[in-house]
Amino acid sequence: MTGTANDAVNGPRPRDPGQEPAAAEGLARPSGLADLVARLTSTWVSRISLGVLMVFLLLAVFGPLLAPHDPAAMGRETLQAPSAEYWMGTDEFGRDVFSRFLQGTRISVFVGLAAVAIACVVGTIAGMAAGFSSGRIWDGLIMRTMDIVLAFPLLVLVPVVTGLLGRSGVTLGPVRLTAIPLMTLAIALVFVPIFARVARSSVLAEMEEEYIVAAKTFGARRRHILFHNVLPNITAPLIVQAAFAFGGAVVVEAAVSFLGLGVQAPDASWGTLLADGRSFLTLGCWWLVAFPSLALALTVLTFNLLGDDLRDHLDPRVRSSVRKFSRKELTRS
Amino acid sequence: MSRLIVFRTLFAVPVLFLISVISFGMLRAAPGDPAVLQAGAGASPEAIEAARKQLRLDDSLVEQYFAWFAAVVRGDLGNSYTSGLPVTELIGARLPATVQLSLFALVLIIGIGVPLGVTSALHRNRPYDQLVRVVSLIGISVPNFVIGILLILIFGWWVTGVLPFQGYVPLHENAWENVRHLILPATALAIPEMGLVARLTRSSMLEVLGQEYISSARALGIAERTVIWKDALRNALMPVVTIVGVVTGFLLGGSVVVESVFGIPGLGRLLVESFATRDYPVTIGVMMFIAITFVVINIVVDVLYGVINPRIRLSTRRGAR
Repeated sequence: MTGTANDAVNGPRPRDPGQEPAAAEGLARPSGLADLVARLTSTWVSRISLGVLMVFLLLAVFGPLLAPHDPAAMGRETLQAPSAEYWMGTDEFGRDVFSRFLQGTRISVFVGLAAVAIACVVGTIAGMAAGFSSGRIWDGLIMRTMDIVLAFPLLVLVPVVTGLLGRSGVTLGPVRLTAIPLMTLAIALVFVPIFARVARSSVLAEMEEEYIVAAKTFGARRRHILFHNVLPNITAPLIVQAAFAFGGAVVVEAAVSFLGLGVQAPDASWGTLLADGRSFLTLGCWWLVAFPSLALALTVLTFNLLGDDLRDHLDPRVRSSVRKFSRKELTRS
Repeated sequence: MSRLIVFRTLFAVPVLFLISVISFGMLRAAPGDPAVLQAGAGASPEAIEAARKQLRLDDSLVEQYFAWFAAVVRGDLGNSYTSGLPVTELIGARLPATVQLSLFALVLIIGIGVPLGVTSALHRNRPYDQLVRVVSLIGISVPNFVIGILLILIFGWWVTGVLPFQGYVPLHENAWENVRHLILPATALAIPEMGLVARLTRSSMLEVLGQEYISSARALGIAERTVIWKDALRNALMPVVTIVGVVTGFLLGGSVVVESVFGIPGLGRLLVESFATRDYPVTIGVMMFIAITFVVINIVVDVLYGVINPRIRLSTRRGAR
């Protein structure tokens, strides 16, 4: 099970392995965070994408408060089509699909965010360590490990891990991992190598920049250079990757939960909602599957659009604006 | 060329080692006593003891691993906890459906994705191109199992009786029904990848069409059809070949969910069923099988890439020296 930044099963694929940033083209390199924000609000496509993203985030955070019914409360009105009372209809137990959808949105979005955050932090640290010790043993060791992880069909591993170990949970020292955290970690593992590669190649390019050379000349410590000079300047490509990865992570979670191996019964996610609804497809109960399907497709589409847009912007061939390089940065070192 | 093959195969060794260690680790980490599970519910203490001996559970983990590994190399993935049949036999029984499904999807992906990408590039920025781009972006963004569910909704409720949407008929029983049953699952599996291939073909075609040798070919008066479908496409397909290799690996994995959606008795279903019965040797066996296939496909694709692109061959040779 493995796939496109979408299909989980299509899962994530390394969309842009080794996006080599143009080294030393001094003038044509916009990549700061402020620049990224400016870019994100400059076109209609990205404004709408951001809007959709905000809606999902708000639903994830406040959704359960908005729920008109108790998501677990069963009723006599089973399999009702959407109406004023039940916005997304009811399921076979008479539960309100809208309230369940809100509950599911929270889990789907949070699992996706957590997996990408973990992958981003771990991958970036590994990639920076590799890039900073470029050519030495650590570099080779870290990057070959990443290659091996990438060569493993991890999207088969995720359901196997959750299916085998999820029900009973895993105890790691004082921490007890139940199904959802275990699944989140397994999904995160899928994306670590991608972040590591991007971070490494960005670090390598950045280290060639004159201000780093200057900082070194001034006797700045390595740690200072790495975290105060390099890190702020490589965040943009990492954010692009995070955008693609989030779409992928949400799909992996949905696929695994759809198979009944991820999120379990009292909880809901977009994947379990789809799994619950599939038995009633031939009865024409479209409302059971339509909304989680739409949410999944919209999430992935939004992040693909945002990612594409940002990548175009960061691609050396399309770079146009000029990064203003402040003296402050030099003197700070 | 042989150097490339050797190099790629050597790289696969640590990957395969990792796969085996993870597989073995999970087999032993899974809840329950393997000997009791192997002997079956209500087995006599003697039977359990025999299973314990057979699985070498009293030896150290390292010894157990090597014994298990030696068996795997000989093609013995152990026996199913529930049916007692060899895991390899179970995999063999389920393999045809998955292979057929993946091949069918691959034909759709290449047969539709590549022409879409080429024609889209030829009509650059015209309405047709815009349409193809939007459709393929949407295709990429909808997960295959969601497409599968929507297809079942359409053919199972809206226009019933046109195409079967559940089950599988083996090829040797009825070839026509076999193909009919695979149409919807293969479509669901293919659409996201099709969008990806179309997008990639388009951008790579545009890049090639801008190159000088294409202008020269046109200036020499070579028929436009030959220029595009022979001279340009040949080079434009290079990156596509790589991605198709990746896609093939993903199809095997992707079929895990799609097979569940459409009720196809393939490898993916076997994997999912094995969780319900806690049949760990089957779970691990199928996972290893898919993982190894994935690695082998990647090697084949890399080598194939070297065959169609002599530049790669040269560079690895130089690198090897």
